[in-house]
Amino acid sequence: MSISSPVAFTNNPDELFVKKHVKYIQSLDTRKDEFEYWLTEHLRLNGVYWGLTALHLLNDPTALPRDETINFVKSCQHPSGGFGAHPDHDAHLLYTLSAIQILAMVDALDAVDTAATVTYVAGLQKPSGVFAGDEWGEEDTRFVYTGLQTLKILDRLDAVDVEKAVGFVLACQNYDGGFGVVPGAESHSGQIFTCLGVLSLTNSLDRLSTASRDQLAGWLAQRQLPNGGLNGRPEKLEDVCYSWWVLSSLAMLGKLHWIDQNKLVGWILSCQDEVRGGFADRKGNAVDVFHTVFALCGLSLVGWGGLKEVDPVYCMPVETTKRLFGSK
Amino acid sequence: MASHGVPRSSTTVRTPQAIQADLLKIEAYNNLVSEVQALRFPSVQKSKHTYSPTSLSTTSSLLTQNPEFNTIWNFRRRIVLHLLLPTSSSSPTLKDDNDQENDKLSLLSSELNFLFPLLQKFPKCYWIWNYRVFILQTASTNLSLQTALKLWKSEMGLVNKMLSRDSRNFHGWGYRRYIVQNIETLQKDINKETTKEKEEGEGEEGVDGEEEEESLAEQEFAYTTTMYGKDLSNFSAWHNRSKLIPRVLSERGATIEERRTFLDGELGEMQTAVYTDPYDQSIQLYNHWLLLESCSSKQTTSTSPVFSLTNSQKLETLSRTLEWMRELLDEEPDCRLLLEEMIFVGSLFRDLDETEEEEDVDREEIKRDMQSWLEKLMEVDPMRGGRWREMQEKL
Repeated sequence: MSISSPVAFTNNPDELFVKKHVKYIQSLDTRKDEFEYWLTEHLRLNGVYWGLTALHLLNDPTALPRDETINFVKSCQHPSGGFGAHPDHDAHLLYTLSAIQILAMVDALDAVDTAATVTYVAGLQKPSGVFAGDEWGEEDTRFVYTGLQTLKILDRLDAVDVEKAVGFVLACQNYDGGFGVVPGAESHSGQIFTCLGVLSLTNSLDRLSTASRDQLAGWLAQRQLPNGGLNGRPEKLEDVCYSWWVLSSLAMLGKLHWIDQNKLVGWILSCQDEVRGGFADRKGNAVDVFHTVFALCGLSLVGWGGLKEVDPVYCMPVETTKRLFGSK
Repeated sequence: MASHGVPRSSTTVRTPQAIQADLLKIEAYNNLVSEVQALRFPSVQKSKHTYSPTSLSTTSSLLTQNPEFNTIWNFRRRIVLHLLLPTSSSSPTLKDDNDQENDKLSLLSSELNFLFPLLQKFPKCYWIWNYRVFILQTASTNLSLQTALKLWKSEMGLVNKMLSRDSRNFHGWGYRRYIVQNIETLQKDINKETTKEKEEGEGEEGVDGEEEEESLAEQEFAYTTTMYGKDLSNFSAWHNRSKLIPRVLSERGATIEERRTFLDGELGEMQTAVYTDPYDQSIQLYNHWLLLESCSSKQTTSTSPVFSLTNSQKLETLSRTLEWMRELLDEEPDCRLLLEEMIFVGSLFRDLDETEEEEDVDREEIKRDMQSWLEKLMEVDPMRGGRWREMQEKL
């Protein structure tokens, strides 16, 4: 990529409040006197994954106690092999992937019955190649990604029909280059991330023509707004989480240099809570761990601020994916 | 844990009174959760009674407070499925089919009614939409085709309301396509049955059920016209329109000539629309689709092309487009979207074979223009400079 020159960032790494973000993440499980804590039980396992990934990128991977983390993940596994968000919650692919990613990051995959997990995931693939999210059958390209990544981490892609899954994803591509939830649905940056993720982790990105990849990268680059932030669809507002969905997609296409990374960094930093740590969807809003991890992932992807490197395909530290899959 | 658009509160510390109020709220909520969880995991003696109307209403209280609690929606599904079983009726007298159908209908209808205010309050909650789909699917498998069809059809009213409140709601548009698909399938099944009955019951009186139009493509196409009429900047509507056009034209049995007329109409509308707002991506993207579909040198991936233009017709269409774009560029010389689109039109043009009648068109001139548009783009759109520099190398 001779055309892309190194980015000259104008923001000083001191402007990222590393210690405050670590503290914020550590505080998440101590907020039991807040109503919100109880209303979000259905995201608890995802929350651990988001927090742990953020801590790894912030170079403080042991800031959450390892044994407690592993025990919590174990307590969420069902006899079916799938995971719920919390003990006594039903299993779903969204939680199953988080569980496996957490265990992969702390190198403890043998703590749970992974053979059962493989059976659970494989059982959710439909004849069209798509995956259902759970036994109730909602179909979505997000679940193709969550299903396949889970199996890839467990080195069991052979348990499903990968070719059919890839075929389903390709059928979801629109003329603008983007991908939707199902064939015929409008392009959306979140779905684009999952679809490019599927194509990347199955080594089938070359199934997209150069023209359609350029079309898609151009569409993604259009997501950057004059203030530097990224939106998820045409004519929508910017949001920190698209610093991940859009940016990781551009990274998978090798086109990070098609947007102004310096301006994006400045905009992401403006979404920090400089007093209590954490990132919000937009400047001045309430922070949460979801936006915190995706803000940090975005900063990491463009190589800013001394963060650990994140893998654009798996949304885990490169250290973890290297250990799992060898160097790429 | 994933909040959008919630302002950060200025106070760092809650007052003791506020904490106390929160604790009371938490206690009440947790008691309700424990109550529902006890119903989900009943002790052996009570197990028979958990799938009851009372349980249903307990889950209603919880889900109204927290519709994101997907596990509770799943429990509710199990209750509904159980209540639909014929054996679950406590009445000792056997009900006739009609009564049973009415009971089922009233249960499923009341589920749909329960969801409506929740959807209005939480229009982006996946689990409510999913549950609604589940109720409708259950209607299809548990009710007569005609009754199920009525339920699905009345969903169009709901989805119209949701999309008039937020015309870009992602769930709303996806749901709309799903509803349409199901209405079409059910109507097809009903028509099949009616035909069969007519054949078998020839000569008999009282064969009811008129065959109705199966395809809703025209109706949906018209809906996209209404929606962009209200707001040109609605990419969801333009997207749906591009997906519907191939079907609409084929169902109209449109000839090649009629397809061309149709295309000219759409391109004309786009010209007006881009003039109205040259900075709108939605319009430019739809215009992009029309030109890509009609004027690309390669035949598109679809087996039957939507618009079969000859090479010279393609050249003529692209020249016409470039002409009005040039005029608009004089008025809006810094418009990056327009510049980008002009480069795209220019490259489509240059990909096409030359024809004899093309004397007045100078391909070299177009190439020079493309280079100057690109230079201008680099000047007015430095954010995407990396892309423009790469394009320049290829040109």
